[in-house]
Amino acid sequence: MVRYGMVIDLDRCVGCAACAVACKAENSVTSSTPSDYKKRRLMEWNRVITVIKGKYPNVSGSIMPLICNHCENPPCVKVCPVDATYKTPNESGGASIYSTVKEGEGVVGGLVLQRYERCIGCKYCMVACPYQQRFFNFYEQEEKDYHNPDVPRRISGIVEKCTFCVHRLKKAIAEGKKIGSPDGVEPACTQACPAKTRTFGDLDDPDSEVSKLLRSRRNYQLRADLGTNPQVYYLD
Amino acid sequence: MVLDLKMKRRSFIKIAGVAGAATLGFGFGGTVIKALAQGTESVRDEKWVSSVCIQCPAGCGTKVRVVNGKAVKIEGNPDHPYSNGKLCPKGYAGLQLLYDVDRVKSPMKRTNPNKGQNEDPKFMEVSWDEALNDIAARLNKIRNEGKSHTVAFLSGRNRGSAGAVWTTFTKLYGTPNNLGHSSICADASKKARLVLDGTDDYAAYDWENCNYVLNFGGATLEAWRPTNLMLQRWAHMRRGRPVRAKQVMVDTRFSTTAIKADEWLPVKPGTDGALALGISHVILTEGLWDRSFVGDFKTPGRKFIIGETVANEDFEEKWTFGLIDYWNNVLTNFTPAKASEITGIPDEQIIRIAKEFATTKPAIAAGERGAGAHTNGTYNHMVIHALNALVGSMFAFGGVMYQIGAPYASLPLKDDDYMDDIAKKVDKDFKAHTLARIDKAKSDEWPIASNVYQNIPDHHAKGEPYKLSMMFTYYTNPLFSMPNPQRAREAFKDVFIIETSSYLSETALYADYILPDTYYLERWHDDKVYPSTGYPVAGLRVPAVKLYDTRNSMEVIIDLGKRMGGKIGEFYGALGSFENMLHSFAKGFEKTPGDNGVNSFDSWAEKGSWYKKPYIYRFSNGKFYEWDGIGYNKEMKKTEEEKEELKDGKKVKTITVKDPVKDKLLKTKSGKFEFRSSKLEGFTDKQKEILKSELKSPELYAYPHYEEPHFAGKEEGYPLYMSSPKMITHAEGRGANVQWLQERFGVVVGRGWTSWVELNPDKAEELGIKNGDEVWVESPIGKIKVMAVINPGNPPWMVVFPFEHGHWNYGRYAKGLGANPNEIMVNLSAVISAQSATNATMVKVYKA
Repeated sequence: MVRYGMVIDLDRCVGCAACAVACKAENSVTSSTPSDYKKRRLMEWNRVITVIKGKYPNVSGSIMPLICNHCENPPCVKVCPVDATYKTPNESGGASIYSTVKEGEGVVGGLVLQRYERCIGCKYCMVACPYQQRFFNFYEQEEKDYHNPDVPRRISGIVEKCTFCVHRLKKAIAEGKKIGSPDGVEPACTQACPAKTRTFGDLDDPDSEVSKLLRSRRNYQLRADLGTNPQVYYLD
Repeated sequence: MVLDLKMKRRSFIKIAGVAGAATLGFGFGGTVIKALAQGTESVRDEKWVSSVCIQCPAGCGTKVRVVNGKAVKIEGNPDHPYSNGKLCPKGYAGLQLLYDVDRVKSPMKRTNPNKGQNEDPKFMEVSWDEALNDIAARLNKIRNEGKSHTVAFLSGRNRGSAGAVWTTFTKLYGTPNNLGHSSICADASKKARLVLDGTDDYAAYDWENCNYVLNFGGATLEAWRPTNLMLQRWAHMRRGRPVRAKQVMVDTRFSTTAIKADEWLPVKPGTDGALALGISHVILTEGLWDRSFVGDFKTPGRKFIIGETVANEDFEEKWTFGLIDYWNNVLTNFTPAKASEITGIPDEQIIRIAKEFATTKPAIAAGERGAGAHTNGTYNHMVIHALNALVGSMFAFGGVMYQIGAPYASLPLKDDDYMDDIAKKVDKDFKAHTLARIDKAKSDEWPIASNVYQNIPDHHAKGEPYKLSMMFTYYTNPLFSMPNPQRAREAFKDVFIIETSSYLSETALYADYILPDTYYLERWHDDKVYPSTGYPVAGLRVPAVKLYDTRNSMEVIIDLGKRMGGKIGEFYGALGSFENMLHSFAKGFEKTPGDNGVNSFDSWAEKGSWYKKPYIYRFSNGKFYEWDGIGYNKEMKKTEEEKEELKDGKKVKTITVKDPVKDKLLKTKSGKFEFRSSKLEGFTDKQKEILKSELKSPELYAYPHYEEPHFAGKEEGYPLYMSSPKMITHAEGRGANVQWLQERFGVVVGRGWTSWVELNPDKAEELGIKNGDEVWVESPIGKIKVMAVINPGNPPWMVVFPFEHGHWNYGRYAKGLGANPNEIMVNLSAVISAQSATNATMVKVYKA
């Protein structure tokens, strides 16, 4: 069984948002304009937020990177009326528990993915996601010279989200490369982070870097009380 | 569907056949496979090209992924010691600058002679030949009229050998005006080091091994350089080693660095020096100074006592000079209580921090513009830097170092040999002080300042020392980036401007010619890193792609020289090209191969970096050592060589003293770290007189001390201090056209695509201002409208107004967005260094 997950060490995080920019570049996520921004049409598969508690002089702040949590029990998948959002199986050839369609062979690991061609843009998944990590495409994606040829161009009217850089994982599988930190293939945000805040790998493999990290320190999942069981963990 | 349009059926089949459906796996609906196939060209020409980022002066090595002739990703070069495979957000965003739709795509000539903010330049495309021939003729004409000194070359980000190109051209042409913009950058800390230990540079720091960081206004996690490496080191100090280092951030605002630091000391603006003095006082009175570096009382166990002076002969200094004078004149009464009164930091906290700092070794005291960009900035940094000497961190493990340069081979020809009579005369006159630079740097007013960029418009406007006729600008934007840039906008109307930016900057709107530079991903260009590792590193940019009819400005200058003829033309004809220069430099690597095996131009281009570890100097247990290949074993001892020579038939004894520490590390008159600066005491009487006239404590001019800062607007009753920091997403005034950076411009306040002023919540309530309100920010020289954002962490006396926006040009994304704090910033400079005092303007804020 393979369950890809990410561990984000907030003590290492320096709040620089390199992850966010690297994600946009790697996944050719549509850039905003000032007017999009005002309309809250910002597409950030990977975003960094700051929460300030108290006020001067008794003040503290925390900076937190957010991505799709690739939940084990993803509310977005449950509500999708057209099977556009699905969870890849945990083992090769296995069927995804929430998807009736046997797809996603080749990429295991319990990723929550989006089939753009099936998406009808109803936004149920956006409402259902407690983490606000799904984004609606208001526009047909313009072709840019710098777009990554490894990711599909998106059309307007569909929802998109973090894929754990599934195109990189696919390439790694095809080329027989190892997947997972520290020396295997990683999602772009993980590879990009100057502070090595993120660690990516198989949560089911006790020898993986992610498993070791989770054993080594106190950790938590975002809104664990909701029962979504995210595959993204945070270390304080 | 759009996706189908460009899809080639053959390529789809090929991909599907070769790679197999399982590896595509994204989804089996036809469209997605088509989409993937469309992106995955049948024959894909893919390569990774070495380059070096240029969005800040750090010099981080990058690898650029080029697919079918298009650059599609920038990543950190794993084989570059600054990048280690990583970049800061600016580095990843370089693609959007390369492919910016509003780049200047060919040389342009102005057809509208009128210049102004609202004048359309009516640019006309011209050929390179036409532009360069015309400029060469104009340069020759000015020169033949004996006015070559009125041509100024303003340059900003001179990476690698770019500075040398300007130096040579100005030397051969015959103008002292090879001007940089370092004074609006961070010259205060550099000059503080120069006057205390003799090195005019930013320091390198052994962060990896340091256990305690006392940082005065250097935003480690946002703007301090080299940002990328700073971010890496910060995380390493946190979690990358068994012992966690403590980060203490002294800053006037609640920044990312303040949030992430272990302790934040919100000092009153401009008082960093007072805090550092309070800390120094505690270190001496508590007997916590490093005896192996500083020395000790002749009576063992004796300490410094508040208010009691010490006789010079009672103390034996080792590697420092003037400690007792420093104590007697500056420190003896500068108690933590006094420091507390000035800075607003409780005295018990000052005492605790001082004890921690002096006992948690290795410790580093550092900082940058937060402390430096004040009228007292140079003195602030002198006190801060002196802390490193007190705790013995200079050249120590985990301490402060100076960057060693890469061993470039020298060029086969010397520019000095090609100076004609005009060039020689200008050089002579400048050295004799009969000819000044337009910014008056190196004159009696600014004897050791590198540049006084911010004063150029005033001097030109007054014709004092003279008027400029022509100005080249390279990677600098005086019409936007200096305090009160309205002065430049008015003054430079009558200057013939040649601008080289790839983007239509504000200065470009005043240009008579635009000679668009290639972007950094399109050129050969070396890069010597911003100081940080101590050991030498040199990166190389290899062209990854080439768009448009642009040219590397370095090649353009060389071409221009050739077209000018005479001795200048001879020199540049012999030199050939900038690329030639780089090939010549790389010959130095043949003798000294890098740790990664780089020993030629080609291997340098392939790897993208040359570096050689370790840092070769080390202070340890009271002695200086040099690396001998195995360890720090070679002691740097003072040696005396006695020689007997026959002179005029007589035997003459000569004694040559060799002091490697003085020659290489502590380059002061005394060969020691000077708490009483011989550099400043060595000023001429006139220079001293001018300096002292600027000081509130003139008698202390040669000492690190707390000089009360001057704030514009304070006397007029403007109540709030304006700080104009740089964000991590800010490519130093050049990132406003990058969508990826603008979307998340304010990481702490969560705002994008605009600028704002941050206010404390109580202050905002008092002023009747709510989050998101439009407000006026008014200083003695004007007011500007901007959005107010509440930052609960900022002290009530602060107005934080980030620098980046307010462009009235610079492409579609930057233009007309937000406001520029420079517009209301009063032009003040720090004494000695001429550091622009960008934190020294006071303002009032009210609802618009």
